Amino acid sequence: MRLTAIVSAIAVSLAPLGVSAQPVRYIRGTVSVAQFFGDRVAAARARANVRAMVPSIAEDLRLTGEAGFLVEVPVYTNADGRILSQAPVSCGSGANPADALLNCYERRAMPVTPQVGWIYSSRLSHVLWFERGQAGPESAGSGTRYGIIPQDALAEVRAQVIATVSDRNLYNARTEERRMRVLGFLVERAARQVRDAETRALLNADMERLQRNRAAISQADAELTAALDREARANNLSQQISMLQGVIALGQSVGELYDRMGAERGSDSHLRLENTAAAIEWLGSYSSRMGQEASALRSRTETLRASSLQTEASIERTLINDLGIPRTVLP
Amino acid sequence: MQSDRIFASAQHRARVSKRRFLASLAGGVALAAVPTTGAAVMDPMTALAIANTTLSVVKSFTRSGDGLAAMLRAQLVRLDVIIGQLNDIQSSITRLQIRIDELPDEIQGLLREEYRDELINGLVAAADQYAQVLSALQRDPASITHSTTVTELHDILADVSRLRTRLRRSRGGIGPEAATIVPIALALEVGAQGRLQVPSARIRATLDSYDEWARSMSGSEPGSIGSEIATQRDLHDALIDDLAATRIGRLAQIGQYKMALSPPRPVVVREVCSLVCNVPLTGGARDVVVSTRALRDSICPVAWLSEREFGPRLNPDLRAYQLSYTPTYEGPGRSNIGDNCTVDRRHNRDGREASELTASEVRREARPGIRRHAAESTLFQAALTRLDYFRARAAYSVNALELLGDVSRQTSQYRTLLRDS
Repeated sequence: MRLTAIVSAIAVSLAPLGVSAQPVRYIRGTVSVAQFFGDRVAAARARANVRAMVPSIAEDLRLTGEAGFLVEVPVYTNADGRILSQAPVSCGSGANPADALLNCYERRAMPVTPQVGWIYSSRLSHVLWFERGQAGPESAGSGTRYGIIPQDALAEVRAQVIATVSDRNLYNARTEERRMRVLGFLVERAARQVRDAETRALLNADMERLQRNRAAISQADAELTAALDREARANNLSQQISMLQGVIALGQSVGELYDRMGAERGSDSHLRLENTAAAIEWLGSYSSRMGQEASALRSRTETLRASSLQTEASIERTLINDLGIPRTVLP
Repeated sequence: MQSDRIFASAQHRARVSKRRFLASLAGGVALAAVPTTGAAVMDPMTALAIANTTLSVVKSFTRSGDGLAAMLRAQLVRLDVIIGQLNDIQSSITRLQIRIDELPDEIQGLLREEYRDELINGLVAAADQYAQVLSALQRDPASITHSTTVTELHDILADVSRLRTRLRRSRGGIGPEAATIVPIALALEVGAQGRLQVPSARIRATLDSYDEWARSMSGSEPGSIGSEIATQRDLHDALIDDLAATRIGRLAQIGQYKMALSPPRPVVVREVCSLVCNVPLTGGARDVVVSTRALRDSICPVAWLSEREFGPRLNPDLRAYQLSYTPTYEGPGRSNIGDNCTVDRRHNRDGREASELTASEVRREARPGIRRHAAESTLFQAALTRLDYFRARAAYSVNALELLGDVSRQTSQYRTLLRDS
């Protein structure tokens, strides 16, 4: 609203103040526009601003049956203190100014959007309180009167509203805090699950390693048993072959003896004795050869086989010496 | 391919054997030992010489010495196992040592958390006390002027102011846990100030300090919610990179699950594919790629399969996606071309083909392959649990950040009410 229009509006709507027949707490605490501004021009301007709002305020009070109606008038000045804006904002009705202010806040009715260079004047900004009846510093017409809530009283009203709003915020904040607490438990549970899962994984890996080790040992044991079994069988076969070879060698020796001595059959005993000695000598050299072979085999770490050959050689000697093979051969 | 080589060598080994060679020699011995009855009559001495020579040859094949080598081999295996176990013990000791070294920090962290929680609980307790005052005021609004009420409100105000200042200055004071209490502390402190008619300048100072606190929390300084989210994201994404290099990670396409990316569609992961083959194989279980139809259809026509579905799962409480890895199928089936499977030696099945086996027999035969991947699967699942933790922690921090939005709205409300334009 332009300043000239405000001034003309105040001039039209100006009405004399009366004495309230029904004293109301808040209206009694208010002050007149003139008292507040201490300046007739500013007061006239303020009254003009109010005048246009009165019919709707009176209607609101009639319909709602509330005790009063609140109007906020934020004032912005420039750096020199010249008023740039003092547009009133209807907050609404309420049981008291705090209720009405809360209503204003809840409707998020911001007075005006300050522009660059506008300075909020906490000294000039004011809040008007309207009530039906005859009490109150200023008459607004239509059976309503109004006054400006003084700064100290307004601070109280604002503090009350802040307390009420904070109560609601507190309720919401506690709800949110409980929700976050639940989320905190979920995060803790997730952390526990991580610990459990990692422990389980480590345990599984350990168990798997353990099983692998056991399997490796079992397999090695099985292979060892099989190899030892094979070894035993091989040794057995080797002994049998050695024995067979011994018998064959003996057969060959006997054959050789027949060959050597066959031509001398029927000769005298001396010759037979000499021939028998030669045969024993030959058998001695044969036994020695066997011994050398056994020794060579022993040197190849085949102890068992070597011992077997030695035994066979010994057996052969025994056969010749003790069992008198020459006697049999040379009757 | 590796699988073809395995089967080729198995067949080659089957053709040539020492046993067969010895058997032929044994036949020679028998021929030499038994006198011939045919037209050719051999001189006995010659027969004996041949028999002796043959026996020498046979003897050279039945040479002993295997036993010692086998014992050495067995001892070597045992030594390997013992060395492995020693390595395990050493690793365990190192892990233990690391854990012990971490303990002071951990204890310090726990103490810090304890202190922080104590302050937070103090603030919650103050809120409880304040709620009792409000309850009394509802019953008797006039009691606001009573000295006891006023004193109590002053005490609550002093407690809140002290506790939240300490919390702000403590380590963890700008973290997500602390953020949960900020809206309560703000509402409590400003509410008590309003009820006690504290000058608006003091209320404004309070609002300023809360604004500064909220700014620190949402900023990037160490310990802030912002840095906490960044830390969780980095840890999460680094683990994703590690997992993407694993076999299951590749199958699950886990590389697409970085925190900043929108979650992709679920995929089916064939976690276990253990082939059951008709060809006799040697050696232990090993991995092969099913590269040919012959391998899939003829050589190893049956496989034990274990499949899981991997994908995102919305957690409505955390309002965040977590990871789901749920079993969908386990049983006998057929491998696909390109599958990464495990193959093991053929078991004794009384001449039956792989396709003739029952499900439980297939499972028994595939057990080495199943076992081979069991530890890998458990590790992967453990890693997923850790990823879920990072996600939960990040989601918690984001929720905490949203609370700071409430704080900002609250301070703005109070400033409006104070007409702090």
